[in-house]
Amino acid sequence: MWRFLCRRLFHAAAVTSGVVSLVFLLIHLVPGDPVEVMLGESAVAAERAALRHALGLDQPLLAQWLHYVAGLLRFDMGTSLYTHRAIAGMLRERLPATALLAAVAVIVALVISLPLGAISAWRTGRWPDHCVAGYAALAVAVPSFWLGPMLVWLFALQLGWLPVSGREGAASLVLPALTLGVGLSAPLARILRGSLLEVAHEDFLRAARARGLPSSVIFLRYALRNAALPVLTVLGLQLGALLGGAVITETIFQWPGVGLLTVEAILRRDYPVLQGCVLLIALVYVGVNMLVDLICGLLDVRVRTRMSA
Amino acid sequence: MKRETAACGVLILWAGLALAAGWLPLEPNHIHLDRILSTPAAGAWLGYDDLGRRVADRLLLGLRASFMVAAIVVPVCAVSGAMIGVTAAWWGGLWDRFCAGLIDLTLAFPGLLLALALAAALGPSLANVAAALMLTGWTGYARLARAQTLALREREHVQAARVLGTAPPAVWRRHVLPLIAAPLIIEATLGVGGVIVAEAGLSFLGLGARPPAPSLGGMIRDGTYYMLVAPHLLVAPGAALFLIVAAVNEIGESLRRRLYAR
Repeated sequence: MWRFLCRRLFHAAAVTSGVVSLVFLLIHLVPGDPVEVMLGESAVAAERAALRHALGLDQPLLAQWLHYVAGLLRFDMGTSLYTHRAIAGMLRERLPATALLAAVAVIVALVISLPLGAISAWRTGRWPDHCVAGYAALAVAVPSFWLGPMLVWLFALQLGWLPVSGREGAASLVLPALTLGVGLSAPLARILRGSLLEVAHEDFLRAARARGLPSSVIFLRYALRNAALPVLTVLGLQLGALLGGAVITETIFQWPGVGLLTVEAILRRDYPVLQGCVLLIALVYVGVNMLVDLICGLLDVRVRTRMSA
Repeated sequence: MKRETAACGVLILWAGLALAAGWLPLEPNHIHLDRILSTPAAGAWLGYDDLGRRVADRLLLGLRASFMVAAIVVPVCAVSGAMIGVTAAWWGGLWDRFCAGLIDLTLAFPGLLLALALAAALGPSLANVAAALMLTGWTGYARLARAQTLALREREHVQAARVLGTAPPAVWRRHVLPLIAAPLIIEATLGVGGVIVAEAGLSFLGLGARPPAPSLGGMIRDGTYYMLVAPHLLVAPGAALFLIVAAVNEIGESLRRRLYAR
């Protein structure tokens, strides 16, 4: 177990350092002079020199990188070019909204996918299974930036049940969470169906049936529990899609999270804020995947041995 | 079988329309001031947008841009990814470490995030979106090719070719690539849908083709502003996008079923 833990932590640390370096290099990808792009053409030379110095762009690359990493270790990501506030503070302000949206979207996805996956595994090859497969195909193919506005059109504009956008009360959370959750529900339902079918022929299920246990107990305590591991892994991986998708979903609904901040930073050419947002989302993703791997390793010896082999 | 035929039909129809868009007498930027936001009617099947431009004309040209990006990005990603994956697995050592690290690093950015950041840094344009998608899209193919080649390398026919002194490129071409081509082609088929959605998503966020050039994502974004008075602005490009992606996914899944049914 310790060996597995150390390996996984080392891997996460290596990826993290790579992510930090890549995000650091982002500003150097800006064609031409990033300072000119950020300030616009009307800026005078003194302003440009000041910003260049403030961003450290007048120093050698290695010194800039060291400065960036040293800042990150002190939770200092620089200041926004637009609001002139500390980026770390802006992110701290926006993170709870994104975390809330992601958590509710995961719940929505689970609420949709658990019954669907169970039904389609229970009635394999029959019409409920085909219906679920159809739903999954639709849910995967519909882009969130179309689904979201269509939901707004139906539930907010036509029916008037829910607010169009913003963050006012629990009702405003429904449509964004649904938009994100529907996309996530399709792969979850598929993987749950597959892993339920895999455990269906295991001896422990036959034994449980032979003992005459009620089918609800068999399903919940024996089948679902053993089928949960692949679902958890996929959930961890899909959480990435969720965080990436949050950028678009938050923009549709003007949900004040990190994703919306990312897009605002892009539109304002506020590259330091963009760097901060991208870094935060990527690091959360790396951390969550590490946690999922560790949990799976804790629950299942086979995962541990496969990983350290 | 029926679903696959329908999917192929839908895809061929849309791709044909997109191809033909170059020769049709379309007027994507012609403004009819008296028709602003008017609904579909004869002569303008999909109505007019907020500036009085014909939605159908813009849709076809937007589609053409989407297919063009996919036609460039997917082959480049598939070929470069396969080459990186095969060589990494074949040579192993430092090169493999480097490639695996690069793949892990790229996959550490969820979904569109890295492409979004790259496109934002490079500046808004269709070419930069394509570049960003190419820089991030090769990893899936590389990971697949690497895993498959690692298993194939030990197979007897490959060992035999090596013992006979065949040069590595010839071994890859004759003994490795034909065996890993099928999963790569499936990945590429599904990748077409992925790239089209990604391009539309980035244009939706304002990173793609610059106005007035039409793009599906941009049309959906503009459509959201006029949902209440002119829902057709939102429905038309979204439905087109949805149909294409659903058709591509269906074809990819059916290829996958055929390959793994054996």
